[in-house]
Order: sequence, then C-alpha cells, then structure tokens
Amino acid sequence: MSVPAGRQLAGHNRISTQALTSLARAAAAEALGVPPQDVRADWTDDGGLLALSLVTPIAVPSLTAVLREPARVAGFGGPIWDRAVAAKSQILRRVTELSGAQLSRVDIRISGASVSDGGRVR
Amino acid sequence: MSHAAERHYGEAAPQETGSSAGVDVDSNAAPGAGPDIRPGAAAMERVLARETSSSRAFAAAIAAILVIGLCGYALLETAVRAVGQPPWLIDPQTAADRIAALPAGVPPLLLGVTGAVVFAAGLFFFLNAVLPGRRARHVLADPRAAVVVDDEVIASALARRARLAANVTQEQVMVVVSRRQVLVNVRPTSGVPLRDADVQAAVQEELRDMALSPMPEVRVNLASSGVIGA
Repeated sequence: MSVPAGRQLAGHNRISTQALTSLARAAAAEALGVPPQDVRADWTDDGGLLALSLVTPIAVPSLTAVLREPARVAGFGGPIWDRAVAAKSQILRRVTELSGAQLSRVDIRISGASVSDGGRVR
Repeated sequence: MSHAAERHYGEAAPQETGSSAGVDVDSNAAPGAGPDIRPGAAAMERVLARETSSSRAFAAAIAAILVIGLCGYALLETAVRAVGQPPWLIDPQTAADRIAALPAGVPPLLLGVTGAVVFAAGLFFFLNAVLPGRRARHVLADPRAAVVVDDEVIASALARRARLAANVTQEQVMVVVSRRQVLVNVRPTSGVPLRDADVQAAVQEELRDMALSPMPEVRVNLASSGVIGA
C-alpha cells in the first residue's frame, strides 16, 4: 500500500502466528478488562480467512458491591452475555485494523470471572 | 508424460542459472542474417530436435540384436540340416510342426508365461516406436544460439514470479510445467485474500518474456483454505 505506483519492491512480509496470537490476546484483554496472559487465543483457517477462538475470563464486579450498588453492573457494560457479544466486534475490528489480515469470525468462550473492584463507577 | 514439479525450498536457483543446456551452433554467423539464409539453420534445427526428444537408439539396438540372434540361429540349423548333420537343438521341420500344433505339447502355465513375456516385449517396442518421446524441455527463441531449457528451470522461475505476485512464502507455491500447460498452485495466507487474475497475469508476463516454443498456457489454482501466519 505504501509502495509507490508502478514500482515493484522485492521482498515478502509475513506476520507470524505467534504475533497474531499475542495481538489477539491483547485485543481481548483490552475488550474484557483482564490481563493478556489469562487469555488463550487460537487461530484456524475459515475458507481463506482467519477465524479466532478465544478462551478468556471476564472482569466482573464483586457481588457485595453489586448488592450495595446495582448500578455497578451497568458501569461494567451490562450482563456478561452482552459484553461478550459486544467484545466480539470490538476485537474483530481491532485485530483487523492492527494486523491487516481479514478475520471472518471471533468465537469467545468465557472460562471464568475475575473479580475486580476497580473504581469504574460512573 | 513430460512434466516437472518444483517446490521452492530455497533461493538457490534464480531464473538465470540452472541446468539450461545451451548449445551454441555456428556462432560465427552474421547476427543480422535471417534464420533461413544462414548455413547453420538446418543444423540448429537438428540439434534442437535431438535435444528435445529422447533417443530411440537403445530400443533399436535391442531389437536389432534380437533379430540378428534369431536369424543367425535359423541359419545355423538350416545349414546343419542341408549338410545332413544331426540338428544342433531342434530340426527346423520339427520346430515348424510343433509351432503349428501349439496349444498341445506345452504346459498351459509355461505357454501363458511365454505369451505374457512376448506381449510385454512387444508393447515395449511398439510404444517406443509410436510415442513421440519428448523430453521435459522447452526451446527458447534466440537468434544466435540454440537454447534448450529444462522444465524444472522454467517452473522455478515461474514459481518465484508467482510467489512475488501473490506475496506468499516459497512453500505456498507449486508450479508444474508440461509441454502445453503451466499449472500454478497457490495456497494463500489466511486473512489475505488473493485474486487469481493477478497471479495469472504475472506468470503470463514472465512466460511472454521467456518466449518459449511451444508456448504453454497458464492455469492458476487457488487453494480454498489458507496457511495461518505465513
């Protein structure tokens, strides 16, 4: 894309699977509010496009905090299901934008909840 | 029959080198002269024909030795009978009688085996005579010298070009060159869709620059599944 028109530059660039995996982990961590090392990312081929499957915990407020203040759930972004659905498109957009590869699907499996009482009350 | 597959493992064979068999005939001829005026044109044609088709000398020699041996033996037996001596192996008359009454007198298994051997030998000679016997080589048009290139070398050059056009690694391209067709198999990188028209155009251009005779046509095969992280 940055090659000037009419000029063919020799060479070949590749993004390794490891780099893609790290990128997906970082994107998922950002979208779900967990540390990247807790996210497991796996790539498969889906008819020439990339399919990403993630196994990740999700950050939730502690139950006592929710009891005390029900608005905390909305502050975290709603129910876990809604947040996972929203995270899919967010991760897809982010990875596509950063790697330049086209993703066809993002599968998220929530493997656990990491309780965080971070001051995210709005 | 004559095709060459080439999988790129290293950059060791750029397109300029390789085992191209260049035969320089009559290099003193004037470069401007047309190919039909030069005295070496016919010789060059002959050299090219020899280089692009395989020799039948071996099969011909075997056939000749077989015929000579048979005729020599028949001559020996006939001479022995003419002189009135006892036959060396078999009397010609007896041999003819045996052959005429063939299904009888020989075990069926032996008969079958002999038939199979004779059939295989006949097929070998027949196919050698009838098939064109082309080698996996192409002729490069050159005004001065006769240039013959192995199909492996052409495949290597085309694979390199296709790889650059598709922006994939060497392992993802496989090119098969046969006399009338070039088959380019490309496995794309996952997430980076390819258009086979691009690869086709690049390979076609490279082929045009080579000016092969006979000019093969290009077929590009894109694999439906890609390679992750390549």
